Amino acid sequence: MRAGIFALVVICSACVKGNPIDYGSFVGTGGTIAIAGCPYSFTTQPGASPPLETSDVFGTDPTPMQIHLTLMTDPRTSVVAQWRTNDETTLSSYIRYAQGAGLTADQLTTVVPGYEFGFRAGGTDGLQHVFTMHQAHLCNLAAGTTYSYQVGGHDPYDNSDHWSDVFTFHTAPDVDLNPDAEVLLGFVGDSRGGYDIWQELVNLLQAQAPDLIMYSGDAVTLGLTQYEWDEYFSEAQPLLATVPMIYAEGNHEANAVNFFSQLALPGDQQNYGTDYGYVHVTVANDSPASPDDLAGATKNAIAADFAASASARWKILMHHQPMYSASTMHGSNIMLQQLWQPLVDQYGIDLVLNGHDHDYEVSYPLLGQTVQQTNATGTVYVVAGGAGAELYQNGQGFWTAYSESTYSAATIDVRRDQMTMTAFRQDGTSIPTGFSKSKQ
Amino acid sequence: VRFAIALVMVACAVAYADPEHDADVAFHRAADRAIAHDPTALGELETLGAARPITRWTDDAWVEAARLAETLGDLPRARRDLEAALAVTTDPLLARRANAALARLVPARWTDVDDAHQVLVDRIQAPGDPQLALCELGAVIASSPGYPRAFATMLVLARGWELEGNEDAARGWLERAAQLQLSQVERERVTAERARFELRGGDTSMARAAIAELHDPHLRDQLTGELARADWRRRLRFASWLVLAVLGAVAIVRIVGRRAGWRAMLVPPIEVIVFAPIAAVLVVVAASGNPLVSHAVRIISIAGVAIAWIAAAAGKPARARDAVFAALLAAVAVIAATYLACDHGRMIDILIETWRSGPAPR
Repeated sequence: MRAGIFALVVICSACVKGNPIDYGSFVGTGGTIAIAGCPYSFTTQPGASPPLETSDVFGTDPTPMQIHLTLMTDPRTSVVAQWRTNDETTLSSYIRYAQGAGLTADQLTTVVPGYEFGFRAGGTDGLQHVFTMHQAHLCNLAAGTTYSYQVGGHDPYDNSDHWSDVFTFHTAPDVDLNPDAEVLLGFVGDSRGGYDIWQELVNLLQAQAPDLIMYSGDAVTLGLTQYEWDEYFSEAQPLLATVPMIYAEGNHEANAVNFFSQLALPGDQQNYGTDYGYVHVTVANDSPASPDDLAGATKNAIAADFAASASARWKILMHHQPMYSASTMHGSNIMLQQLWQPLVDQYGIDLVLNGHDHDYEVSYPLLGQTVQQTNATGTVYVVAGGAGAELYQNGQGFWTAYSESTYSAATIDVRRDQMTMTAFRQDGTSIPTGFSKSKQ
Repeated sequence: VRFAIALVMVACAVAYADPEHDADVAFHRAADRAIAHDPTALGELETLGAARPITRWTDDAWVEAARLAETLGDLPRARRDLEAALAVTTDPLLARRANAALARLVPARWTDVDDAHQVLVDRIQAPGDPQLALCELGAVIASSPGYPRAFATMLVLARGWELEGNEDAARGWLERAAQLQLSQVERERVTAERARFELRGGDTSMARAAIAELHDPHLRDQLTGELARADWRRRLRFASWLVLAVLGAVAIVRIVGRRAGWRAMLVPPIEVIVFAPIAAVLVVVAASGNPLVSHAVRIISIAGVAIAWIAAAAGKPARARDAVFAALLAAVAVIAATYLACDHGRMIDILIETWRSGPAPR
């Protein structure tokens, strides 16, 4: 009923010009919808409307923008495309796609309807507005395969097309079928307030042709202010429309409805795990709404994911606040060390990726508080929080193998027998200390 | 008979030879050594890439060879190997990565400049005095017009000189970057960087001028917000110092005017005797945590002791109303000192973060 009222209000608002539209009777209860053709459902949070199936409603400027890909389930066979439109009244959400790289629009023969919903957040004028989000979910794709796609819709009333450019993405390889598969993961975090620098790093990451982007949080200074998210996604579209992203929530996202609405991710969108090639990535939210969760629900979720992925050849944990940081700003998070590091040690996690401190740091391999001679037995902790936010002074701890106050991003090359991390600065020079580990 | 057996064996070998299997073994042997950066693997991988018939390892061998060549610093060879991979591959993912790597490799004529760039930036970031490396990198960039990475390098040079406290050199590199042939995005980038540089240096009028040149409304709004914040902080800093100076002067006048004069400062008052040990404990405890918090606690503790001591030396007010007034002045002095302590090293940003999103778990 409420969903129907919302849809009616939105449809009636379609003729109203202006951006964004403020829906007076917006229903922000959140809701769940089963995704057709996929083995999961999508849930919107309080502050967002229940998700609805697409409808042929077009606003004043239905041009898709801020197109980005994420994952909600197996990256070998699925992907989620999300976008907004220049107006907030368009409700048409379709994706059309076909197998192959660099196809033209008329070669995209399969059309899949998507979903849309609104969420209420702060606009540039400081007032609350409702922003419309579009999603389309593709499942049952072929592993290790390239697809071309575009999002938008066709207006049957005036027979006009409102599709985005054609982008290309590819699914994760199936290592059972292709044991020599190699994947390249991009790792970056903390762009807040420096979106021009973020754009530079996006270009550098794109030049590496990664398969998956791992973002360690703090895209924005305050999660509820939508204009920062707009900057973040707009600058990153060339990369994120072609490479799916997984994301660890940072303290600055502040569990805002904007985060949950714009980033469709597995499980509860905060604590989840995914396999990509030979690596299993566990993602955790270390800034939960209830701090007690750090020792409770979040810790349990991490432990469960570690246990479920115990047989993975390579294991990465990504969260926002570093257990080990020698930066003079935030430094090491002692509570997370006490709560989570025993799990990291127990399950032999190879690499822990963090942001929060705006510098670049690599630790020696650690087991407990003891520095290991080789990384065969320890875990290496990496801080790379220099995606645009004002830099912090780096420092030196007993664990510090290398630290530098610099804007940075990194790529992690994962093969069956080796994982190698290479970091680079904003001017494209590589940072001398990364990470490399071999396993037979 | 022997000849016939040999002939049959050769025929069988030819008939059952599996080029895929042989290539598989040879590729993995060479690739393992390439991963370990063994230079001898380079030729072996290139031989595999050039071998015919083409196997499923042919393109991979060229890509591995290119990667090893790039690691070993032989960029022209890396480029050749990537082109060879692209010539034979039918794998779109491999082609995508090879194309990206080709685009990433600087053109051959810039290889030397690129090498020098890498070495000098590493030296700038290494512990020790970076000034010589900054000078050398500046010279390399100045003598290499057209270097594709010149723009980004100039921003690094500006930042490097800023950290060294040489604002003129930093400003000079930002101006030189702005004079390059720039795209609109790069022009915005250098203008924003100039605004940030002036904000960090405290010159809000120059920052305002730079912000006014920006075309991107979001970037302009964001930096205008930062400017307003910096303006506020500058005013608060000034007001805090002014308050401390005025109250210090008042205290000096009071102390000199008393019969005991400066001798009143020689014996610590009871307030200090009580508070100093507590302050010492706070300082020691804070020293075990965040360095910015530790610094702030140290400054606030020292200021607290000093204010208590001076206030006591200035004499006990005769009337209750004066006592309240003196206590208010002392409180104002403590607030001013606390603000200055928190303003140091942008500790105030941690406080704002904590206010917004709760304390960081420690």
